[in-house]
Amino acid sequence: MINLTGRGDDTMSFVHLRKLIKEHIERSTIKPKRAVSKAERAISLSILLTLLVIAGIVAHMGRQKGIAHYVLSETAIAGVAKGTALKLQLPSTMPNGWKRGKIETYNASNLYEKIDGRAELYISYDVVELVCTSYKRAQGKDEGMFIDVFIYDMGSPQNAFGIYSYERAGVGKRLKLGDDGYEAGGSIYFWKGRYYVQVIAAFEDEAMKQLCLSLAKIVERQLKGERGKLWGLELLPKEGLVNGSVVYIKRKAFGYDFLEDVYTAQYRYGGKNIKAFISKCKSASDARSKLAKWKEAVKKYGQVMKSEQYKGQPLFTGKSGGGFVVVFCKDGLLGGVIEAEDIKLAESFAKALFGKLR
Amino acid sequence: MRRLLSTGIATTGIIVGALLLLDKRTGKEYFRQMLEKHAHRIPNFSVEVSASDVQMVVVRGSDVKRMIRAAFDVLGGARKFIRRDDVVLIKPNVAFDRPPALCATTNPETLKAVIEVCYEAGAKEVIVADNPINEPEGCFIKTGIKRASIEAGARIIYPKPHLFEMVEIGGVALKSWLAFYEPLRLATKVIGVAPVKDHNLSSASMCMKNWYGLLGGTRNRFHQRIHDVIADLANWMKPTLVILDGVRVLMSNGPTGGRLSDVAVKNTIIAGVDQVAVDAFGYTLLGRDPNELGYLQRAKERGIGNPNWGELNWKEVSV
Amino acid sequence: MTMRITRARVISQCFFFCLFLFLVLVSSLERVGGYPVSLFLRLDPLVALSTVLSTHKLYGELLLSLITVVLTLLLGRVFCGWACPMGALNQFVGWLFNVRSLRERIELNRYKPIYAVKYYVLIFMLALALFGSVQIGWLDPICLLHRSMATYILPAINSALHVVYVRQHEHHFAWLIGIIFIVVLGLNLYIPRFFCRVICPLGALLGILSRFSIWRIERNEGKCTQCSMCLKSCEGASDPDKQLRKAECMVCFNCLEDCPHGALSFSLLPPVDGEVTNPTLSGRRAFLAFICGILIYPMMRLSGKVYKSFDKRLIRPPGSVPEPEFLARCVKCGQCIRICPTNALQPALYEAGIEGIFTPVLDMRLGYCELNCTLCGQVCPTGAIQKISVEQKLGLGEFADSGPIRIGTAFIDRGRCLPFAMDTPCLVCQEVCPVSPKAIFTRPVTVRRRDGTVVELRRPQVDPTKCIGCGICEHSCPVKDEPAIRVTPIGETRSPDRRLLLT
Repeated sequence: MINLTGRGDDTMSFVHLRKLIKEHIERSTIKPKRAVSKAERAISLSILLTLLVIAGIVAHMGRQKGIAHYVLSETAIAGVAKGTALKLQLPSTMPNGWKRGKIETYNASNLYEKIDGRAELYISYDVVELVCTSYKRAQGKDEGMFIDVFIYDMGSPQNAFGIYSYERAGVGKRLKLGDDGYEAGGSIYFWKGRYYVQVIAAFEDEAMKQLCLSLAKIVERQLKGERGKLWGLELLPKEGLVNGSVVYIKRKAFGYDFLEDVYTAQYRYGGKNIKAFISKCKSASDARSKLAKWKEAVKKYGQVMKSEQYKGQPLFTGKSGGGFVVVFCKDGLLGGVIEAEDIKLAESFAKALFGKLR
Repeated sequence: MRRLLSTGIATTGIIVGALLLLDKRTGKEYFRQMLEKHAHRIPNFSVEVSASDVQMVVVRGSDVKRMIRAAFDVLGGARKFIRRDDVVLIKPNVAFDRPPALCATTNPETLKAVIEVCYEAGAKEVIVADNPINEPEGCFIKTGIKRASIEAGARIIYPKPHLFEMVEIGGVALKSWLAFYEPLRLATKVIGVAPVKDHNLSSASMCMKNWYGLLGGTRNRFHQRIHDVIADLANWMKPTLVILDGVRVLMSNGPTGGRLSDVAVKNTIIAGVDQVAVDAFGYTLLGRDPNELGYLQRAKERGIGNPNWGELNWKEVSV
Repeated sequence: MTMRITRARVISQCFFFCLFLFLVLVSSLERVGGYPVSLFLRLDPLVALSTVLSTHKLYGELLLSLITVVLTLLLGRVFCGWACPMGALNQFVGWLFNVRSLRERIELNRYKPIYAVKYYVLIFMLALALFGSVQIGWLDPICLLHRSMATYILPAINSALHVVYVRQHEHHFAWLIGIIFIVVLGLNLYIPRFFCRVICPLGALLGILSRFSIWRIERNEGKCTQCSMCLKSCEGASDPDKQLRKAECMVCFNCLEDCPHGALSFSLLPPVDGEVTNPTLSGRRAFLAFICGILIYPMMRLSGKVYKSFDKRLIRPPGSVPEPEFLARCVKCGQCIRICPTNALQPALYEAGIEGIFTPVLDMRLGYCELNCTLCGQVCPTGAIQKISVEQKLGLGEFADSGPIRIGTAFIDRGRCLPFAMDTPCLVCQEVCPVSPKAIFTRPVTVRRRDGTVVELRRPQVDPTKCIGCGICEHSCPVKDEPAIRVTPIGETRSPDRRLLLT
């Protein structure tokens, strides 16, 4: 048996434990007790009560936060700014018997449930949330008439402008709505701050178009947000720019994985339409490496016609995908012309563009 | 007299004890025994399937619950595979601590649908188990698999070290290996539920590679002969059924994924009894040619399965 | 059963000890929820005081220590007697193993001059804190107990019962921490509550605050017969039979029970001549302790390891503050080590220099930093590891501009990597790399092996602009003894002077 204290008979054993327990029982039963005052009892009991309260508070705190507090939220997965959930007031009825359906909300992960394959495009522009609803005519003979209202929170004004400009594709009548808008095929499209709004009519009809416009204005009034600076719109030269032709592409521009953050625009030059582009890169070396990759791709699938230094920066001209392409670096920017028919015009425009960029 | 007795007992006791514990092995015998450590054999979990039965079904749609049920129906009904008193092991892919939207792991809704079908067919118990690459507790929680399993009434077995034992693999690259044996010991049927994923080394991770999650030890050595190993895994595990979830597919940056832009919607679920054929079809969802996938060709050469699904009795349905 | 005050005290000690154990056991992703796992550390005024001295700010969470301070200012060292889990453990071990006669027990519970040592320890450590090096974690009872539980006791329980973790955890220097712990407990066999009376700096601090307490044990000279029975179970060795030493009394009320004449009571504002108000210190020794602190600080800080010649194995958790401030905040409590799900966090030995012993570092051979996890920062009581969300760690959403938080960068050792050195395919590192796009890319090369076969290999290369230093590559590398890809603190976000690339 283990001897812990160095004394002969007092050893650590069952004997000792029995002794301890006996001592304790003796002390509590036989020994004369100290008188316990009422006050002491009250204090002791209230202390015990405090302990219970502490236990209760700890247990309650335990339930307050769940796993969600420690893991990635759904909005974060979409990788965009935390927008406040859009709380819109949409009228439940519109004149001439239009009734509004349920308001639905979707985020980036389940957006495909509403818009199927088109979700990929919106995700490429980092969509945060979609709030949508549908107005339908109550009467039977107007079966099939609907007005859909789609409000996309794209997380940032550049993303909103991007998807807006992409879907615009140059058609439609310009409208003064939000930061920019247009009407096409009886439906209204506009963007404001970081939101992109579509009010889509079932078919082209003057009366429905007016309703769409009213709805669009109701939505527009409730959307808040700064437009901010869109770097592309600031940098692209205004002279010769075809109105409404600027498109912002966020990822995988022209089919190239390495091309991101690209603005394209149509210019009127030498009596022809020229499609120009600018792309912001992380640095001058990044721009040069992207130009090199582009040149490789053109070499592989097309033909590189000229590769030179223009004002100390690389520039190449090539033929690819049925049109001519001119690409140059200007410090941290890539710029040039694509899908051109006339190579001389393309080159001269590209060099002029080079000069106008800051 | 008493002292003589106690001395005698102590002496004989010690001598007998020493003799019982004697180890007279030579060095040669010691190392031979070490290499031939006892390894378990797992049973064949597949059910009888005749040539007239449907061996593979491709379901198109977007509601996973309906798609899973349709898959079971076309294959002959859940009762064909699951009997009363079956203990069904469902092996999902829970390898990484990703949220389900990123498609690096099995969709919890798909898993839940499969568990429900098993219970409706009369299974005694459904077990969900996996040995993740990331940390198990976090993986099961963050992928939503834990909640889905509990809601559907399945039991999760976590990969605790004492539940692993040596198992005979009997393959070309793997002879025997440390495996997550406890769920295999308990199971009478095994269903694999895997997502379609791009993979940096093997090009894809689907049903055949899913069995990797039942192994332990230093799995990181498989990559030296990855295609042989995957074929060995498919040769080792003969499941009752495999279900390949291609509703949302990890197209790039696999097997870990990480961005929503890596994911594409393909709205397809493939289920069948030939995991090689199912994987071959799944490979087309990635936009690639199954004839170029190493482990499929190896599986075909070794007769493990048939990647030419057209030669099987297969159907395509939409829900 | 009458609820006498000593019974209430015993129940209270059991309650707080069980609460402490509960909070330690519940510290895992699955169970932690909103439980205040750092509760005892937040209540600990020594943690608050030393971090205030070293950082000139009070970390928000530590405001809770005011409760302890106010209670001590009113009632004396009630924390030691009623709440401290280490104190309860010491008392229990002493009670269980101490077999002595009545005479011996009384003598052992008399005040001894050695009990002044804890004040010198406190002064020494506060002097260090003044200069920005927090070392109280070595001997603060809560930090010591928690660290011992996290590195030694929980892994031991798990190896036997498999109930704490899924995969077994183990920690470096568990042996050293364990020895310290067992020695502290063992000393109770020599003198009861040895640690509390002789060593504990928190006890010393509370003792100093006790001089202001307005309640204390009072002895009625008329009833007292100098029988010394009050010393039989005196926890604090505070001489209740003479002038009560307020700084030592742990308000356990055992003396009230043991006095056969009812001469002791707990009174409000009793006469000052019945007490020793201030702790008994030798002014000279106290000054010496302070000087030691001043002398030792530059010794520790300027031995390399902290500034330029930082150790390549010093990888701190994500959300950590820069190194000099880290050493001014970390109290070596081991909470982060306990909650780290992958067993990556370990107590350091010398990686951060002498000051950094037992502070948390990641060892990528034992674990790695799980991508979607920020648990360590959630439980750090002093802000050495800041509370960050997973979004901030990964650089998503509003943090997209600032990018992910990096804890280091991986480097490939071409002399050991299979595709480089051994003509064998591998790429486990790229497979498990969790970021998208991956931080490891490959370059293909065709190689004729020694046996004549031709093989196309893909050789990995690290992209330092994407690598966040999580270490799962090093952890999964099949070259197990010294992995062919290793993470070092280069490129960690918190240290501008440890960056590698310019852009």
